[in-house]
Amino acid sequence: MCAQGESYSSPGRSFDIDPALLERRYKALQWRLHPDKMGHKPPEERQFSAHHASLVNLAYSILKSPLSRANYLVLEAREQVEETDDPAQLSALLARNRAQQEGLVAGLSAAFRADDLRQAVGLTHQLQYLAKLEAEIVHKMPQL
Amino acid sequence: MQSLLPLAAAVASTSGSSTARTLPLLAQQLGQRWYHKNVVEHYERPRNVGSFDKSDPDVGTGLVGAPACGDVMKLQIKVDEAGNIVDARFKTFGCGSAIASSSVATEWVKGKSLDEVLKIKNSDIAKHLSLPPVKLHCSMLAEDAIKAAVKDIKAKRAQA
Repeated sequence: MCAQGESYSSPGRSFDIDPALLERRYKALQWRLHPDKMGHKPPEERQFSAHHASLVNLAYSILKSPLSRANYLVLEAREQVEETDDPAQLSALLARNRAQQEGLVAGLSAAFRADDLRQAVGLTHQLQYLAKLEAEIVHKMPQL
Repeated sequence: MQSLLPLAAAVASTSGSSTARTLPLLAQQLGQRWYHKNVVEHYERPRNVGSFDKSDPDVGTGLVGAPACGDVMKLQIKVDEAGNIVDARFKTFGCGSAIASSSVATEWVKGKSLDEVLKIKNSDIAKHLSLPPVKLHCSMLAEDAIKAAVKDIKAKRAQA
């Protein structure tokens, strides 16, 4: 997902996506990959483009909905921690996680000051996911 | 386990309605696994852990998050042309009850049609696992994951 995700989001890995750009890119890719256009091509090429067409559909469906996008990011973050036992990698993940939490706490402070409870609830949810992730990393590396 | 039976019988005979609450409580206090073997299995040896290829046209993926606890559950179904679920897998980052709930869910969806599995209720899962009230949301997550997986495969097939 990452390679496709990055090309649809704004520079620097972020959550934000331009929906119009996503649509254009999706249609352009499908135009090039569509199996109907592959009639005269050899079987291996047709298989390749059919497989990639389905991957593009998948990436599009994930990226289109902010909720599914967010859930996939959470899933990927948890998998990243699960798949590594390398202390250096875990330390790096922990550092990034704590920096993200600090950012959220600052956001929460602003939200409460502005009496924006809706924003506060959203940020609290994000903080909960990050806190859980932090606990998982720490659990793997008790010396941190 | 055998020695608990006379005690349980004594409790059962004294009060009808509170028996259902008392037996599990007794079991906890005595540190015994009172529950049916199948229930224990879902906690200790969850079934169907793993992943299918998300991009497979016969696979429906349901991914649901629980913001209250920061956990996430992925449930996948493999569906034949007739719309019957032939296999299922799950990956859950969560507590034992969440993992057990998704294990039960993947077992229950196998062999059923897409419409049938939409009738699976969180209360059935919770009852099967004797989930305490504080863990009821885990079974809700599993019900939501089933619905999301069904929605996904239906959307994929509508596109095809």
